[in-house]
Amino acid sequence: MFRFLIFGSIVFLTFTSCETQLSSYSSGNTKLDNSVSVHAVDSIVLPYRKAMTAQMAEVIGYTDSALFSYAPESPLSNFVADVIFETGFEYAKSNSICTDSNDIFCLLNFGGIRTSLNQGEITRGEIYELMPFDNSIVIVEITSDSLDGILDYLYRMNGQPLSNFSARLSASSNGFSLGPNGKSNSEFVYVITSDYLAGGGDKMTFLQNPSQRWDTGILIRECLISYIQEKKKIPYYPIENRIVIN
Amino acid sequence: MKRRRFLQQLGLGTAGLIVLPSTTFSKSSQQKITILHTNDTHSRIDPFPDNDAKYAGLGGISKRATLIEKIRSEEKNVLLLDAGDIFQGTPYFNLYGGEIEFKMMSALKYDAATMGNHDFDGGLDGFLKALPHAAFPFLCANYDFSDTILKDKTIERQIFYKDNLKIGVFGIGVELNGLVPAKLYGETKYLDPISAAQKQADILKNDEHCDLVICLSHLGHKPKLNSMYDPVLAANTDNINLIIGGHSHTFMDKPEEHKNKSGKKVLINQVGWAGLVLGRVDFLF
Repeated sequence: MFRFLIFGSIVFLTFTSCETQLSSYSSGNTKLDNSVSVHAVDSIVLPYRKAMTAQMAEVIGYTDSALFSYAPESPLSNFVADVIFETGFEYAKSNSICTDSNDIFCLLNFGGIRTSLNQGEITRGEIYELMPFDNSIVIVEITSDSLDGILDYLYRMNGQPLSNFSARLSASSNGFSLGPNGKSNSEFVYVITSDYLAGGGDKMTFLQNPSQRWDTGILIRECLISYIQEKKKIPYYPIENRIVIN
Repeated sequence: MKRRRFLQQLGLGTAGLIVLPSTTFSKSSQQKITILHTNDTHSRIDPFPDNDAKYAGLGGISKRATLIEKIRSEEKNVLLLDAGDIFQGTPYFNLYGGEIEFKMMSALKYDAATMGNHDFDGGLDGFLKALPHAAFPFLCANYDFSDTILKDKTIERQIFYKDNLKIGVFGIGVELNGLVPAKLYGETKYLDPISAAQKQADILKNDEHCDLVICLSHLGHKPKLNSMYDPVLAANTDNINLIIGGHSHTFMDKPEEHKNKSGKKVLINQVGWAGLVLGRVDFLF
């Protein structure tokens, strides 16, 4: 053992002869709170901030309570999925894509909901922070059989935002409920999603090669802004067991 | 619950600051390198607003500037690094395409950064357009941009000289396929992170004889459905001392110690996102 240690340190010295030897480290990750003052470099930001505020400070609505987004299901993700479902289903009906609410649902991703929504007035800028991407609503037609793959994905991902669809997931078996009847009798079902996810983003490969695809061109962010502007107030959003994972 | 855990971690982080007695440094033979770092700042130029449900009043790049300036006045050898996802998250990016993010990081005298997946959000042309505002290099060792407009705009590694010490830094990015729309990254070729990291670490350690080798990684700490992440990188490579992580928005109160392929210590440190925390690791030689 002793001989091994001697040998080890010689090898170490041989290989590190050119470098100064690292002896120890310490760490101090520090949070930036209000005790830290603003530096004079802030003057660089000022013109940008002024122009941005002029466009983003507009109050578009109100919420009585803060809404948070988290897996597998949350008030904020339910709200966002419901708004996108409503808009997407209207588009599907008026373009004769799908008119039966038992054959269509909304699937989004948590990665696309970037912040929480704070209590009180909602500004346009907050919705930009919630949904900063220029993603638009896409509808894809897939076979009912491929729902199994989606359930398996939802289990492995610990859920994703859903509307008009609920899932009960476990390692051994998965079940779902689609639309008011709980199941579709059609050979095809329609998924309202984003162009990012329909392109296979977040590993949603099952959306990538649908039998049909419709690009609505409706920006998800603008859809949320219009909805809040119209309704003025976000209704109370409970957890309603859209995803139960055992 | 999430918030409480975050605050707890922040509390621990601050309490975890180890103040070494000044006598430790009085020995003329001892040298110290202070590594400061951020990741996933996501266009968070301003602090979170006072009514923010989670992070009221926290963050802000101009406050980060004050903290960094203070540390630079106290420490002789400081490096300031970023592990990617500088872009996307506030209207600053939607309106100005990353210009103000790079301008401010340059004003704060960042030494280097790597690219995260969201730094592709404006496309390669969007990144190229903002790039003149960055006075620091982008280190990308496993994105091959040679068939794109970013050819020769990034470098694989950079060596910094502080006192008598050489610090080698390189960058490793996350796989773009399935994460970033293909039209945004175009002809960018993705190279295996482990072999790319090993190649850089070997050059920096064996050929350049660096005293410290740092990997800026945007692989993530343990992202869902990914088999490649920082602890895997740490365990399967040699010659890396510190991995500065990103992508998974993981708040760490202090660096994690891992063992590399040869059983030697590798540190992994990551400071969440949005510039809420400034990461710091001091190395003594």
